Amino acid sequence: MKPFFLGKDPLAREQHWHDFRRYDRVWHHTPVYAYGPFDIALWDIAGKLANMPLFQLLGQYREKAPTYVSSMFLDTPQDYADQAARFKAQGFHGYKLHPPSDYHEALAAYRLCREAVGDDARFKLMADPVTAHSYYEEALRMGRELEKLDYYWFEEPLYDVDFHSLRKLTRDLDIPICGTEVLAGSHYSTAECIASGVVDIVRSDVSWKGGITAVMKTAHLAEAFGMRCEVHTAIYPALEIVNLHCVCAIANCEFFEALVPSSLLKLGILNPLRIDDEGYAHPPTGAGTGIEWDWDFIDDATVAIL
Amino acid sequence: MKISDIEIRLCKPREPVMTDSELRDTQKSDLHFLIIKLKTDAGIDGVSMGFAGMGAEMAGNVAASL
Repeated sequence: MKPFFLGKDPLAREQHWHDFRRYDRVWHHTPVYAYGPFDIALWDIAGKLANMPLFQLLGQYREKAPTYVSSMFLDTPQDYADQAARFKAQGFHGYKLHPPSDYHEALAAYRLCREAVGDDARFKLMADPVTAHSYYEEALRMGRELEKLDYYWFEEPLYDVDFHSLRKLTRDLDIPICGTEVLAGSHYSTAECIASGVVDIVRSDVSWKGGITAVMKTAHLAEAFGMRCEVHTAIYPALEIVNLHCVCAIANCEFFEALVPSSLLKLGILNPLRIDDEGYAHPPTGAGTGIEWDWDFIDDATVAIL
Repeated sequence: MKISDIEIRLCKPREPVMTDSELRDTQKSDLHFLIIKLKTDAGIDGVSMGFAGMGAEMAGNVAASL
C-alpha cells in the first residue's frame, strides 16, 4: 500500500481506487481491510482542504443518526434481555443480539428480549447469529420464530457466500435477510447479490470494504434498487466515527450501529462518539474526520513504525 | 498536491480492550490496530485507524510493503 500511494495526488481518490484494483489483482491480493484506512486518510485530507466535516463533504442527508446497540456475546439469554431493556431506557432506537451459537439458547435470548422491551414500534430488535446456522432448514426455522417475535431483520444467518441457501431464505421468509458484510469485492460482488435476490438488505463499512469510497458506491447501488444499505460496525472507535459520517450522508441507511462494550469507544481518540439522550449519534463537526487523536495512548501502544 | 510520506504505526494496547467473555467460542482478548498518516507536500495530513485484528505485524507489513 505504501509504495502504491507515495507520490500520488491525494485528491484523485477515484483514480486510485481503479488503479489499485488492477495493481492488487496482479499478484498482491491484499486482505479486505488493507485499502480502507488509506482511502479514509485521503478523504480526511479532502475534508481538511475544504474545511468541512466529512458528512457534509459527502452530501449530508442528516446531521445525526438514530442508533441501535449491537451486543457482544453474553453468558446467558437473560443477560441479553437485561441489556436490551437497559439500552431501551437510555433512549436508543433498537438492540441487535449476537446470540449464543446453540439454537435453543439463541431462541430463548430472542424471546426474553422481546418480553423485556415489549411491543414498541420505535424500538427495533434485530438478530445477528453470525453464521451460527449450519443449514438452510435450521435458518428457516429460526427465521419463522423471529417473524412471530416481530424482529426487524435477520442478519448473516448463513455464510455470506452461501448464495444458494440465502437466496432461498430471502424468498421464503417475510423478515428481511441482511448480509454481505464480509463478502470480498465490495459493491461489485454486492451488485450480484442484489440482482439475484440473495439478500433484502446489504451491508458495508469503511474498514473491511475499501473505505468511504466503497461504502458510498455500495449505498448508491442499493438505493438505485430501492434497497437499504445498513452500515455495519467497524469495531474500532475511530472507524466508527467515519462510519457515522457515511451514515449521515446516506438516505437509504436507517441506523448507525453502536457496538458494546463501551470501553472501546475511547480507544486511541479523545473525542468519543456522542450519543444523545434520544439515541441519536452526532458526527464530529471538525474538518475531515474530526477525530482528535490520543497521541499519548497511541505512542504508548506503538510497537513499530514502518 | 502530492503524498510525500506515509507513516504506518503498528499498535498493541498494553491492556486488553475486550474481555474473553465478550467473544464467542474463542479466547480472543486482544485487539491490535494501525495508525496510518499520509503526509502531503502541502502540509495537510490525513490520518486513519486501520483494522489489524490480533495481528498488527501482518496488517502493518501489508500496509507498508505492497
